[in-house]
Amino acid sequence: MSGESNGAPAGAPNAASTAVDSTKKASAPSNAAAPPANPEKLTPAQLKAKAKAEKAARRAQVKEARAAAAAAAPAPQEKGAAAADGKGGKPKGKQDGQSLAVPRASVSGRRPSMHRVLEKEKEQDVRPNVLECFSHVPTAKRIPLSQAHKDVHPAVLAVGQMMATYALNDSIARLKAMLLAFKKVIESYETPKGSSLSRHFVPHVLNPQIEYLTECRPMCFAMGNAIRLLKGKINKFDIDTPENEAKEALLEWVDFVINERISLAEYAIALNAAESIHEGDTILTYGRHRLVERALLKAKELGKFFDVIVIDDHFERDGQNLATTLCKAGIHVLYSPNLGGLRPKVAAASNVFLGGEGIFANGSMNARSGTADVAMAAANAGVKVMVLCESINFDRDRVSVDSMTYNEVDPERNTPDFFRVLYDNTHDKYISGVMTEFESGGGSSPAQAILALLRKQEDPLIA
Amino acid sequence: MLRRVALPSFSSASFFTSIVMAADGPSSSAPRAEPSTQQQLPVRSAPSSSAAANNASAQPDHGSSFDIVRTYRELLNSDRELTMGVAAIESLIELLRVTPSSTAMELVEIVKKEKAKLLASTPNPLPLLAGADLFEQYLLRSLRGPTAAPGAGSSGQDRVLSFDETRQHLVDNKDLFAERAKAARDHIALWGSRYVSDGCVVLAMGGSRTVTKILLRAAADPSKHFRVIYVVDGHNRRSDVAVAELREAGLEVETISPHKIAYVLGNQKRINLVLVGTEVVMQNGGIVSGMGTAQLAHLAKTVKGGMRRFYVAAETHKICRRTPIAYPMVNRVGVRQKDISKFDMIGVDPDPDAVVVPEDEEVDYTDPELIDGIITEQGVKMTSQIWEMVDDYI
Repeated sequence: MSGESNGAPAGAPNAASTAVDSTKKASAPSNAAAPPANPEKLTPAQLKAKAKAEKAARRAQVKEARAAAAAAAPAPQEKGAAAADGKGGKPKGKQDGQSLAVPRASVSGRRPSMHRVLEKEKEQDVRPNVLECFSHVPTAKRIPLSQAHKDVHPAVLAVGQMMATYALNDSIARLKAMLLAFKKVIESYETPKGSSLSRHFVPHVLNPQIEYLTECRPMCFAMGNAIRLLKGKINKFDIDTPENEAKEALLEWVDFVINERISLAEYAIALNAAESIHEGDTILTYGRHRLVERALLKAKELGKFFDVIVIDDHFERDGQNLATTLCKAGIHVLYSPNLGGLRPKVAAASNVFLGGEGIFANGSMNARSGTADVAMAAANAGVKVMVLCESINFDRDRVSVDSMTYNEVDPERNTPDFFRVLYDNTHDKYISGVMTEFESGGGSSPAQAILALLRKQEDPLIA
Repeated sequence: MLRRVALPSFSSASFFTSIVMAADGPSSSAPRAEPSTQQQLPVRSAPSSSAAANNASAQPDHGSSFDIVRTYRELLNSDRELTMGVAAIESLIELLRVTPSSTAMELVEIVKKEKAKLLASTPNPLPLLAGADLFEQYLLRSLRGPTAAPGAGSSGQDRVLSFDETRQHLVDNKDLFAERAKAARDHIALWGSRYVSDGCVVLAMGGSRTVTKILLRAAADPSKHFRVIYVVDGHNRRSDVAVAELREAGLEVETISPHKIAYVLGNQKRINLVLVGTEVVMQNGGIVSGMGTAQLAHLAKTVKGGMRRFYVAAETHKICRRTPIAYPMVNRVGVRQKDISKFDMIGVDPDPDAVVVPEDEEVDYTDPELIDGIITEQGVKMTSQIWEMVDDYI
């Protein structure tokens, strides 16, 4: 189960794609062994793999049907549903865990003989007629409560539902909700006889929660990082640590992370960004990001006079709220409902402040789709682009050069004709500086240096 | 957010640590601390007398009449090879010496105050800020760090000195700073000379001592034959000196005026290296250097014809912990220089008393994206690597 932390957007296997994942897994080794040229001449290994894949698909289908029946059944039959789920739950969880570890490259190496299975699976896909080249892009999915794994804690269930419905959207909001839910999980945890928390908690209690959350919606980087840190923390406990002591320490640690990496970080970044705003500046921003909003309000609080240009996301219209808030605070705001006329607006700005959802190890920023357009226009106009982002959102393993590798499909705009993705990828050359909680006095670090930043600022108290 | 940070070994802090460690040997009297280095390096001879004279005058008053600005200016004038940052560091150490040791915190406060005084005395405080910041960081670090028990034995690199020890070492080894800084320049010359290739032409500008060293070092290599085009404007005397020095060493140097840069870059296909020095490297890898540097960098990037790269030679103690992010860049980071965009000097004679940079010392900002690399004594760095060399311990 090492895949969770770095499988975030990659994972997200919903119930329907379980079958694909297992076929993928089955086909991966045989693909590596033989070139995928001739579907007729199958080696014994390939035949075996094929049989295995078909079996897995059949099993998934049966399970699907059973689950559907269970979901359709009203409350009186809940017991039966739970039983069915309990039966199907264990192997399913295991499969998901494995599928997370499956190399994604195998998607491109599908054999023609797999098509039958794939088509069958495609019919079950919630997304109608998604082109195969985009089939790897996951989408958030509401999982009926009855289908959830029986070990999932109610608090986590609630968080999962909120994430799936985008009630919790922003990476830090999701991180915080997840950590608070994990606190509940830790509180209610009791180590079974003959086991210890450091050995038992992660595989038997924590992992089902994580799997469930991942199924609801692909994890963001911050959640992956927090889970990695949490697991590291748990592993460090001595096997003889009394349960209460360990639980106490864990709860304290979670609070510490929330304080340091979320609350304090937000304050520090907002202050730093506010300090870098000068009298008479014009700040341009895209959509609504909590850090940018806080920074602008903070700058106003510090008594600075400046204008703001809010470019809004045409689909989300979050920027309206930002514009309203800023207006109420007495800041002059120019609001643009979409990216139209971007170039003159960007050229008129003295700085562009963007909020990032996450930053990859190579310095590319993952952010609300449309951000890259603004950043590119700004770089073109010679306006410096500052990215505001907490360091918990940094990914130390993955790199990204395009927008489609790690992304999510907007479930509300997903028709046979088009679909919209939620994020895009801003190349590091369009980012002039990243403001993290480690900077002060208006400083920033280059986007390419985020690995160095992680190395330099590795906090012994957290990691 | 206060964090104890385990610094990477290549941090600019090593500049200090190495100095302190050098003197941590059996004989802690300064000049003999590291005889081997001393022999290799050009030892600063002249200033020791003037500094001594200065010390003598400052000593009896216990710092009450100590004028850091005057000390700084004297130091700077005493040695042509001294950079402003190192002069700032040395004058702050001088301050340490004349200030009676009270509590550590009080000393830090005094240093802060004097630093501010020093910065206010010059319209372009950035070079001083880089040095003074480095010094202050070192002081804070040694103050907050766990102090080693005295007499615990100077074992290994990671022994942390107590505050009094640190102070004493700094005072004892004041001159080592200048020597180390010069040694750094020699290292830069070594790294930089590899970028000068045989049969090519180097375009240089600004009269930097480091650039001169690089070119002389490259010229010492018999397998390399290269020529130099030096951009010389009428009033920068330092570039005249540099050209004279290069010609004296037997290099073929052609001088051009700044308005010919684009023409020369477009027509001289053999130019493959553009080399400048700088007084300050900003945290993001950009440089604030003499007016015209940015123009040269832009032209080196955009004028078609030939492959050429723009390198900056700078010691790591020139790294300044500031990032310019909005226009006018240099004014935003604290240089008091005429801001043309304000149009407030139209038809008015400039106020002669205002502390602004005189026109021939004005600076501009070169963006990191125009710079291919920064040649430091710790190797040739990409601009994004500068950030990790900054020693930020606040």
